[in-house]
Amino acid sequence: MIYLGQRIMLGVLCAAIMILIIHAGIRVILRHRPAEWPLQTLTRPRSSFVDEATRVVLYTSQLAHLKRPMILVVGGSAAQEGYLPANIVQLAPGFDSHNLALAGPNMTEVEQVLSEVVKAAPPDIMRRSTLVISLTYAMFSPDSVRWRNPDLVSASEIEKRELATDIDRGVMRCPLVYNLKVLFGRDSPRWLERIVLAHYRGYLELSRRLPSGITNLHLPLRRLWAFDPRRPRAHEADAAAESQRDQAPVQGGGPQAEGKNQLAFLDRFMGGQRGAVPIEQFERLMKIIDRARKAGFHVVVVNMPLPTWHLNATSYFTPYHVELNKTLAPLIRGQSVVYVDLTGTVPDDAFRDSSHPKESEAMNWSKVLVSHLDLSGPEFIEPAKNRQFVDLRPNSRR
Amino acid sequence: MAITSFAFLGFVIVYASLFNLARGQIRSHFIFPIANLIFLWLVMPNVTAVWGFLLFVFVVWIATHVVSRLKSPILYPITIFMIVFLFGVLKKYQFLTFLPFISGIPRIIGLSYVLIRSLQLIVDVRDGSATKPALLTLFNFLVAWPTLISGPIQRFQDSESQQKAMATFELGEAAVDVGLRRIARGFLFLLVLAEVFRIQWLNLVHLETQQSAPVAMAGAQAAFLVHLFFNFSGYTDVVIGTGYLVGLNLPENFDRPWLSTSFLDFWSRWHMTMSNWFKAYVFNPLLLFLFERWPDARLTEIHGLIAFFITFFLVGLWHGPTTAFIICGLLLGLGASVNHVYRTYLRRWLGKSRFDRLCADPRYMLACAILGLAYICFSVTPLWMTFEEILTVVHALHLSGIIIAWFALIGLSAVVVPLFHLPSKWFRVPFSLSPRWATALQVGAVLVAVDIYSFLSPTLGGALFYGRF
Repeated sequence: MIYLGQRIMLGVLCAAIMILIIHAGIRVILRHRPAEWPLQTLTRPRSSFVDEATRVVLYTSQLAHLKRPMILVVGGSAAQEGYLPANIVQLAPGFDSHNLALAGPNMTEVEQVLSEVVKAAPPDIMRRSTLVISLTYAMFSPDSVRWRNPDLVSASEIEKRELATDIDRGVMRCPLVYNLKVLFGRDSPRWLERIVLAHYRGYLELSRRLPSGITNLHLPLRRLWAFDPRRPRAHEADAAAESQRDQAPVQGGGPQAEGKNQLAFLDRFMGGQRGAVPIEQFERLMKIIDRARKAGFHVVVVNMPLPTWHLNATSYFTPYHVELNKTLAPLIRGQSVVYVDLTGTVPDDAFRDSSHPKESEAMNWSKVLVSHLDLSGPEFIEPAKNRQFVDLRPNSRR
Repeated sequence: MAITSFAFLGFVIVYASLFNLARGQIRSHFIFPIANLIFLWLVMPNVTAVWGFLLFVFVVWIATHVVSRLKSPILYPITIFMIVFLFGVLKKYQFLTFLPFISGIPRIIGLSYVLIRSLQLIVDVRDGSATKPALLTLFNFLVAWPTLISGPIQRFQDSESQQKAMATFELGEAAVDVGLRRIARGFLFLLVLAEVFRIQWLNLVHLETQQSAPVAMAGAQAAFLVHLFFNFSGYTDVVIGTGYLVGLNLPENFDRPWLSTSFLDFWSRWHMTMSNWFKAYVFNPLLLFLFERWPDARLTEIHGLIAFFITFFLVGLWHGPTTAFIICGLLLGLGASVNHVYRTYLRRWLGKSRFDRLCADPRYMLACAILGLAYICFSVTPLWMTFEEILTVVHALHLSGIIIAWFALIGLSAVVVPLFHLPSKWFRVPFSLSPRWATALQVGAVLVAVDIYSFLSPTLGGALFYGRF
């Protein structure tokens, strides 16, 4: 038995030394550490959906050490790119800002993000903080459609009986962090947390630099076969195209033509039942608001802007908008949430595609958001009395 | 409880500690059977399955007493038939689904392995090569937790002697080193390598289903075999390694199957305990029966042909109760028969010396190895496809697609097989370490590999493919 214990201890020691060597190699060769503060899921170049979810799982435990109230953004990719924490902090001094919005989520995943935040953030800070839930109609894709979408989920995942969101897969990537949270909640020892986070951050830094076909083994093999090291990776190609589009003014039907592809993608994303948005995810939104309010957050729901050509072409927006107004109406009347509807408030040339802002427009988007937040006092407990339904559209549909 | 779970690791650690701290008969009479019972309860889907399993063990115990006491020539085949029938009922074979109560029977894990161990025991007890077992010894043999899920298939005589030797077992330094290295290698195979190939296999199946691509089908067939090797061989490594720590010397299941030079050679290197069992208890008696029934020297080759076909057909059928497994059995039987006939007639045609010279030619060996491996990938396809899926693929690919897939499989084998035959000295490590540090390094390296892989891939594998048989 002594030999057995001795060998196991030596084996663990060897593993620890090897991992230290790997991390040292990553540090020396890559010479970069990812940003930890403010918390932000957006990376440039854009990483994969699961990588972004992994960042949520990894970084939210840092919220345990918040000292100031925060403006926390959750939602989809438009909010991820439009509400950069660095901009919001400039516009709202005295507040921290974090952006845990994800690419391609639905409300189920937003609820999971909120759950991670509530587990970590100190209750007294949450009572002085604002949660911005940014919405687009695509976030109301039902679970059975979103998490079985063959464009985004691997065949083997689709075959499984249980639905798994990107957050679920992110959790599986960093079980030590997840288990730490399970074991200790928000009171995990700092030293242990630091070691575990440093460990995964190193891997994250490494995985972001590897071809996506290698780091995401669940991609169909044809992606791996199609991989050409001289060609930019998918998200890098997107980033390059974004940069070109940002430089060139939008003229004629350029973006619209490309937008057709994006609308076709969104059509599949929503399950192809045109003109209908199921109620399931609206109920989830209510749960999110309820949970956030119970945790002490001031909740601001933002309906994100879309270009007019997108609004005219999609059949999902109108039913979504009607249902959203209906869902939120009692909460607005009871002053439980602030609703900011930005539909039609942003000119079309501020968009780089069907829903995302140009990089140069991010500050303007943040300004609009911050202008609608009541940040008057650091110790506000109840929603401010002057909070009302805000609709900035030129042609109000109220 | 999966073999790759923390629960299993905890079970092993607790059992190994208790076993090695205890002394004397208490190990085999108390700790081992209690652990077997707990393990049985942990791996079975529900309590009914546990009772079903225990019922089967009890019936086998009665059967051994019946065949040892009553030497009736009629009673023996009836006993064997009853055991096989009970197995068929508990396994819910398709041709027994008319029985009214069969739908309520839960899935019982490891029953196929228990059946062949039971048959071996009954045959040996009747022949006198094994003694009539005590109930506890039989329970420890059939429910032995390291071999419960998927073998390896141990002979009763070996199990009995090892149960007796448990009382005096001392865990030495060498056993710890060998055992831990096997366990580490097993987890590397199960958690990382098998999972990598499982994902590629499923991706290729998906690609084939979507696009009816013959090359994807060939890739899926090859990827499945590699996945199966790492999965099953990894499991066997973990089990054998665990055995080293608790006084069980379990038989090997794999002997470098990638070096096989023909279909028949492959089966003498792959799942060896099962192959040896079928050889000893099906092939040899069947061949003997055929010789005795039709003792004509001119029929020797026909006897061999029939014996090979039936044996390999039963190997396929043993895996499962559905039509797909019957097809698998037919394909395996066909492969073994063709291999046997080809070898026999080539020897007759060339003469013994020229045939031996041809077999020693590396180019000929390589060609046979490529064809053999390609056919094996093809013949085990029904292990992962239902009959309906097979029909869909056949309809989608048509004959031309199937031929293209077949040639793609041969092409793939032609690329891969020569790599297996590279001189082993090229892969020799130029330094040596003491066993202590070699073990520690190997365990550490596996821990790191699993850690990195679990981060890179959103899911960690480890589900045992053979667990379903």
